[in-house]
Amino acid sequence: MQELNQQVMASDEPIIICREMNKWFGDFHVLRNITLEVMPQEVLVIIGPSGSGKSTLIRCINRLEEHQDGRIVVNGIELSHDVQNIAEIRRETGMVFQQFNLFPHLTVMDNITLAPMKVRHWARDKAEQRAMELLERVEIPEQACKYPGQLSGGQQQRVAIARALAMEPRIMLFDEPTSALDPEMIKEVLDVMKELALSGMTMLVVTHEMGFAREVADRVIFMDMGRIVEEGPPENFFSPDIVHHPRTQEFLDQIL
Amino acid sequence: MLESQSMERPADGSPPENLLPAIFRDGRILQGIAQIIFVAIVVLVLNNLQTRINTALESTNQSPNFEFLQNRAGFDIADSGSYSSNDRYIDAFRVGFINTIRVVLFGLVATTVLGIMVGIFLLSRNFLLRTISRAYVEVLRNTPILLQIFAWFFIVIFALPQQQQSFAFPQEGIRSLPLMQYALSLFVILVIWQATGSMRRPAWRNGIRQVSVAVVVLANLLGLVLVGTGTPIEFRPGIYISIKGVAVFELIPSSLFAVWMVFVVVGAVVAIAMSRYFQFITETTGKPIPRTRYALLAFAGFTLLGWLVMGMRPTPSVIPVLDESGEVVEMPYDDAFESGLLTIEQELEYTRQPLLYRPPTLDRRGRNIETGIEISPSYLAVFLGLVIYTSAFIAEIVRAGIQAVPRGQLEASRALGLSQGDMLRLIILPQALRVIIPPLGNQFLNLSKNSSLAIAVSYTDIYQVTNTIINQSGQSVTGILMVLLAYLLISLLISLGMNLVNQRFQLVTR
Ligand SMILES: Nc1ncnc2c1ncn2[C@@H]1O[C@H](COP(=O)(O)OP(=O)(O)O)[C@@H](O)[C@H]1O
Ligand SMILES: [Mg+2]
Repeated sequence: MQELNQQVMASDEPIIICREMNKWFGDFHVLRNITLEVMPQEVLVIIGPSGSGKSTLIRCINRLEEHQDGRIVVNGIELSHDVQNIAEIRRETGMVFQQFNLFPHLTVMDNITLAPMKVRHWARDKAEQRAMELLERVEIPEQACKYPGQLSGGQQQRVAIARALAMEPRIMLFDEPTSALDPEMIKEVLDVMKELALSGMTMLVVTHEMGFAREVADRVIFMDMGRIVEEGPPENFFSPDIVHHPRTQEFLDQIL
Repeated sequence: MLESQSMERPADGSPPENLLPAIFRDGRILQGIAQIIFVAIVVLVLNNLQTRINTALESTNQSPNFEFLQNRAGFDIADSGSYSSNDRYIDAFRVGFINTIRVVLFGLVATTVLGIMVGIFLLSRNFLLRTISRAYVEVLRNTPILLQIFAWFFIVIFALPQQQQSFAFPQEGIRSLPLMQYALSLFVILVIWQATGSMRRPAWRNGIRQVSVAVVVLANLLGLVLVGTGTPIEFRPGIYISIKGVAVFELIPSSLFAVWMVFVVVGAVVAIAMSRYFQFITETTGKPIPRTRYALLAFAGFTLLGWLVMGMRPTPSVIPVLDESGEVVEMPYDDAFESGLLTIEQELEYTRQPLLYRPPTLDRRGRNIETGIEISPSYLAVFLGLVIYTSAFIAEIVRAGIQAVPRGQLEASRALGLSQGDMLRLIILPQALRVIIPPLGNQFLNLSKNSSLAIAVSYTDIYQVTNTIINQSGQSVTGILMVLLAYLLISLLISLGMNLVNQRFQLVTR
């Protein structure tokens, strides 16, 4: 599987390209000269101390935040003020949030079918059938008729993943998907994400789960103060023999 | 610790000794006893109060009864329609009740619309709009409503012209309008709208549409006549505004109204059926259909069709009318209409229109209104005071309701690619309304109860009228009781309505 992925990657164009991208919140320079390419089917894990701009980076990729300088090209589409382009990119990227952000007034089923019906114009039958398949994939088909408030955190996050997948995106963005979960629920969500990674989904994952990074990531990047300080395959990253950038070393010492 | 606690208990684990038998330590029974005692006290107090009041009233020969309501009222009421001082007290009471309802009903609708608008402005990204609406809210909700009602009253009294110099809309006179050009302009806009409909870039599409509409509208507004010639049209004012209040045109249902209503109702039924059908199609095939637009078109079509069909009704070939010299002559309906000799009854009977338009007219001295709807300065003051005061509170409720929807909900909607409209309709509104509706109901109740401040500007609402009735008849207890019941009725109706609406939105959660 891994080898196959490598081949596909080698022959393909990057699916996400950031070139010298900069972003400010007022006077605060959050993202500095970010240059990054992500290949199709690649799993990229982003780590770094709190406030280093990890969330902002992946939120720029689907235009939840606007970058002010440089270029972002997603799936061959340039991200600019063109609303048509933004809509197209959002159709191709799914996002999973730390706080789940499920719609509390809709059932699990309606949460999942809403966007495919409204945005992709699927018939309800098709959308519900697809939703059931996805619920089975995240192993909670029996929760379809419940409301989000009636589910545990882990179940809610799995619904959120199913909801994002229902749009059949080419890219999935995860912003600390397990940080709001109790320890015993973290595994069930990580398992779903592992399975998704194996199936060939392009994934950008902000996480503090180093086990997940080591096992699943194709590449890890370390961010600090709005910069990509270091990047490399997880073997290198977590190997004790490699000499790291001092900031990376400090962070790894704290977290491992 | 644990041991020292268990020390107080007997070694065998049975509960400690107690003075009361078990039955008097049962929480449910204790609650029951408390309630019985409470009810008993209330009944005793009320009973005592009633006996005292009765004795006091009997000693002055005013024991409460409802028979006095049948007596002649003997006082006039402004804003009273067909009521006269020869009618009974009960009629006066009814007039007051209707006047209260007039203020409350229209007031609720107006304050809701205004409040929602200002509430949305409070959240606007436009600095000016946001600041102005914030100032509006702060000034209005921090000053007493009684003062505001007075302020509106004095604005009407002092700022508006005498009746003889009323503001009139539209200005009376004959003006020449290029009707051909108007029709053509409309057509051009429709064509551009349709032609740009398939454009891929919304920014360009909207740009082209806005620019072309602006150009066409501006050309027409500037009086540029490029196509055809002007048609002279006589304008008669439909609205007069003066120190005596506002006079507005009337639309009176004619003999054709009922038949036309059949068209309207059928149109509504067809529109609903179409909307349901298109929704079904969208659900089964996924194909998006602008069903609301089609339904509205169907409804408008039927309404218009009815109007046109009614226009084809034959009118009597001859009709007896009084000519200028006061003699009865017979002439064709249309001739009689042209020469203005028809009585209103005849017009209503034989017209080809379901609704007759009657502009407001003043009597010969220019003092009183003969036809049309008259709105008194008192009504305006109470209406504006209540509506604008309450709208400030509603604006805050709406703002809070929208802000109560977490940012994450918007982010999730955007990340899924939902359009702005879908996000507002399907995600934000259902969640905001849950928060908005209960306090909104409170504001509705406040408005209805505050309407009793009408007495300050002598608007003849139920409280003002009943006050007069009490002063004249001495029936204070009965009078107050009736006002109380009237307000209670209004409040209960509002509560009932709001509860029904509330249930609909609460059910959606869990
Ligand atoms: N909407 C915002 N307005 C202003 N500052 C923000 C905003 N969002 C994030 N920031 C700031 O930008 C920095 C990066 O935030 P974030 O990307 O959330 O970091 P991370 O996800 O790595 O913890 C932080 O210092 C944060 O305070
Ligand atoms: Mg973050």
